[in-house]
Amino acid sequence: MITCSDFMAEVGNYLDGDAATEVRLRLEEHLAHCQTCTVLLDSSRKTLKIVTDSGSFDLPDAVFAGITTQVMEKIRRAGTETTT
Amino acid sequence: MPEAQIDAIVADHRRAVLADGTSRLLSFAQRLCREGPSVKRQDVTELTDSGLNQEFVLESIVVTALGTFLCMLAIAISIPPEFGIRPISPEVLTHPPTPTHIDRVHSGPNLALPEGEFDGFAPFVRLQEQIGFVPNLLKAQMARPDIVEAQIGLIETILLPEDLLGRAEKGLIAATVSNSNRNQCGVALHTGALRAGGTTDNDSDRGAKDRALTEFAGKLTIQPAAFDGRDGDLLRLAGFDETQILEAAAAASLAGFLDTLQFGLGSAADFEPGSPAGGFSWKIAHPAGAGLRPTVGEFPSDPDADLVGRAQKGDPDAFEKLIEMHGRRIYRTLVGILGNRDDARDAMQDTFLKAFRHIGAFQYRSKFSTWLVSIAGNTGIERLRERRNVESLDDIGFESEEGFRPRQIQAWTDNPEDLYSRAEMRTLVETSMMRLPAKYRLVLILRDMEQLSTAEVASALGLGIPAVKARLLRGRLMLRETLAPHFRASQNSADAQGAPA
Repeated sequence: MITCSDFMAEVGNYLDGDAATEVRLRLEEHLAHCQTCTVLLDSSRKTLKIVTDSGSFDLPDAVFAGITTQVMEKIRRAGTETTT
Repeated sequence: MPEAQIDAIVADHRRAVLADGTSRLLSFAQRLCREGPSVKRQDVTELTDSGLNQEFVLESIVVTALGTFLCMLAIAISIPPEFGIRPISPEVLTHPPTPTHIDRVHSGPNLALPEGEFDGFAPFVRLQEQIGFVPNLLKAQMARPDIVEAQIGLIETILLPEDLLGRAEKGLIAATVSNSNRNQCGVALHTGALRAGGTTDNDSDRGAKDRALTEFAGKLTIQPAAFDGRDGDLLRLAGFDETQILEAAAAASLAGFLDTLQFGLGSAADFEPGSPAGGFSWKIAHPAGAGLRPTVGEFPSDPDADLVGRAQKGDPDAFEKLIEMHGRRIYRTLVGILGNRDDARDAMQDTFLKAFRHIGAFQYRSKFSTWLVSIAGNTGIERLRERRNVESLDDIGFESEEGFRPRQIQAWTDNPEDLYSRAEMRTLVETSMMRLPAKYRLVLILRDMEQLSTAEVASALGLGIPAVKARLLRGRLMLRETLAPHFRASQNSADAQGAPA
């Protein structure tokens, strides 16, 4: 029988669809009678979706363009000087 | 150990009175030195099966390689021995016949040592900065980081400086030695490392000097017994001074050291053996050189291959396109490590400049975008070190390594994303992510935001896949914990339509 700790250890693989069939079946069996782990799985799934959908840490276009310009300026300048 | 015993061992260790294990070890060492290409993985496993542990065998290989180094150096600079010479029996001195065909299918590393996590291992970061990659044979020894650090120190002192001999010249010496030792992985390693520095020397006077260096290194490797002071004159005649000759000797000996290591460790080649060495052209004649190619895995096709190829030839427009395509991912990676936006923006410039400098070293062992992420990773960690005297991501944030226990176990509302505006949600996620320890945050960003595969994350960060999975799990659970109070089913009136349990 798997314990809640076992479940927690495997939940990552399960969420990513990476768990082997026998493991998956045992996890689902555990879920059938464990409310805590059911909640854990559900909220973990939702967390993942929130993170993926959030579009966090986006770089504004203007800032990005500015950085690119600066980098390319340095690269092009170095290219026109005689290289070693 | 009594003198007579040493005499007996030197004369012929197989006849000396030694424990079985010791005798086997000495035979292995001898074979490693003299018939390196013929050493197979099973020769190493025979040692470990006979009761020697993996680390001990690793040390033995390193010591053997050190022996090669010291012998070559002593011969190259014609040092007379400090102690009396002990005779070696004729049977031992008979050179083994050169095998005409060596079956060199690469079957993976010879030792089964864990490679260890090397997040921010300072010598690797330095080496990555200087040559654009970390050779596999160094990674293979990470069970002993002290040894790896010492070897990198040797490489930095002998092969990398430009003040006496140029890197290109030392690369030529090293590649000659490897070729003479029939170590095609070594040839590819040294020529690959040269491409990183863009060392393509178009000076037409180089011919005579290069030939002298090649002859010097070749003879030292293939005919050490016949090598003497007059071979040093070769270099003097070509215009090298005494300090340069000394450096040439050191470079050749170090290459011999690395070759012996390679034969003993059996690490995967860093570059496709046999690929042309950029603009460098040299020919080494060696009778057994042709037809000895270790086989390496297939390189998967990279959607950026075309642009990368052009950028490698120096096309700035192609590189600019690559920045445009991957810049946002690099930014997120740096946010992951540094934990704040301004630092991440600063570090982006550094990352791209570094990438352009080293793009010659990129050989499609991973996708280009993955390689770029690893450069960002190293740049980020270096910044952290400057900022906070921190050695690796492991140092940051609280660590409760023993069983992280989720405390928030109330059910969540059905549609958490309906509860907040997009902007609020983003802020919530960002704030929560910033509270995570960097090593978890980084993996979460790469895997869950940037959608890299677990294998790609592992490759980019120099971690094993189990380590990535462990960090991912921990990070996701911690994040869940932080978010939970905002999404609990019972807690909100905006969710009146849904009927949460």
